[in-house]
Amino acid sequence: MTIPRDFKSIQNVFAVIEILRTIDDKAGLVCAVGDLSRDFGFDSFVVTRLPVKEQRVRPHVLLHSGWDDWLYNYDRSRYYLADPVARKCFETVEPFSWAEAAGGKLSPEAVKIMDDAASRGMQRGLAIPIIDHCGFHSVVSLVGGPDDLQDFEKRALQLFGYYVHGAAERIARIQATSATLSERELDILHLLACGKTMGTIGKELQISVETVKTHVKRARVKLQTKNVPQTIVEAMRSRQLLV
Amino acid sequence: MHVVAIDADNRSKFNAELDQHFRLRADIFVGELQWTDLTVKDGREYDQFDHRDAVYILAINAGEGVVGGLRLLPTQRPTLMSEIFPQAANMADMPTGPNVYEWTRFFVVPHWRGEGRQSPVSGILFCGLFEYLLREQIETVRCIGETWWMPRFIGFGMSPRPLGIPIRHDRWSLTAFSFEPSHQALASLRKVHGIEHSVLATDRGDARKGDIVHV
Repeated sequence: MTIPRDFKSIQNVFAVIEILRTIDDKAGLVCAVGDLSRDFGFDSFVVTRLPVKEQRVRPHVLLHSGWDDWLYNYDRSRYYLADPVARKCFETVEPFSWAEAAGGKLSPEAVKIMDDAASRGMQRGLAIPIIDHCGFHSVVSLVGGPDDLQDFEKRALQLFGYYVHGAAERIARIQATSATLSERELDILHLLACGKTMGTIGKELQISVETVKTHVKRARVKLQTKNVPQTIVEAMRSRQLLV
Repeated sequence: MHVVAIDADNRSKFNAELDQHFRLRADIFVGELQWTDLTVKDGREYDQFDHRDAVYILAINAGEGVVGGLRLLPTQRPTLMSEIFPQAANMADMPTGPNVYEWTRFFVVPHWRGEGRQSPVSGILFCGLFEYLLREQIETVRCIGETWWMPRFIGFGMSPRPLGIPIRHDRWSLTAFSFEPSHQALASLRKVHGIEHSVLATDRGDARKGDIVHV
């Protein structure tokens, strides 16, 4: 099939791929990806690594827009291991619509996940599976999209998804470098993640509660987080904290 | 394990390795991957682009011989992309010139492929390729390959530029791209693959002495 070089949305994909190389902050990347996705009729997106042995996805999310509530619900409901979209990412390297993943015989749990997503306005979407340079699986998932997405548009978005993932990984590395937690900060976050209070932690480490708070505050500043739970999640997502 | 670069000047010293490489290409591309467009003669796969000006980058393991390889074609002569897949460069002109080469026929023998993670042989081949490209001052490389490999090339720090939207060919999705070899990319490749030293045999005439990287 001949692909029209003058097709504006396709030209935009190639222009944005060039721009992605120069973006080095998350907000800029979210903006660029959101703008181009909307050109194709997609409302929101997520870029995430796909863990093999874990049930939670949020610590592995690299980038998203408009997925806060769904990701919270997704992890709380332990959807990941039964999610047909996530499972299909381990079976194919081709982009696929969510409807394709939901085709065939689904488990009751998988049906529940698709229904729950649909009830939250996520009826359809496009998944772009990725195997990265280390052999790990990731996905760029776009919500929405037109019924009549052309094959060449899908393939252009596949390429776009690859570059978005590359940029998200690059930015994650930059942030990880500038946000390396000290051993003490990690110890305290680990104990907080285990459910201990700051007072208990202070006694255990033989330091004052104020010192514990100072360590937590430093970790929050480094990770640019707003509260303790978010700090723990971010420390896990950046693979510094293993709980 | 080391990498040799075989061109018109030193080809006579590597007849055995080249022959083994053509046989492996038949086994892998035709036997295993079933690329039906290719032709096998006398157990060897070769085509019209395996001419005197083609360059072969081969990974050699002591006692075993060729364990991986790739082919570089000068773009001032017909190439796979210009003759068979020109439609793959559907959004940009394919770079062409005296310092532009086309990379084709990348392979690693089955028992040296990685499970999940990259194979050590592919890492050595990529590093050897970049060392050769930088040594020969090749400015641009163009390539058509399976689309799902693109995230790997991006992750390796090769900064590939797509020349078009992926195309379908038989069961395969293929993408044309180009990249400019750089010392930065070589450093990134070495870091990703845990390679600290040169893997390309420096003595073009006597590369068999090398046993440079142990894997």
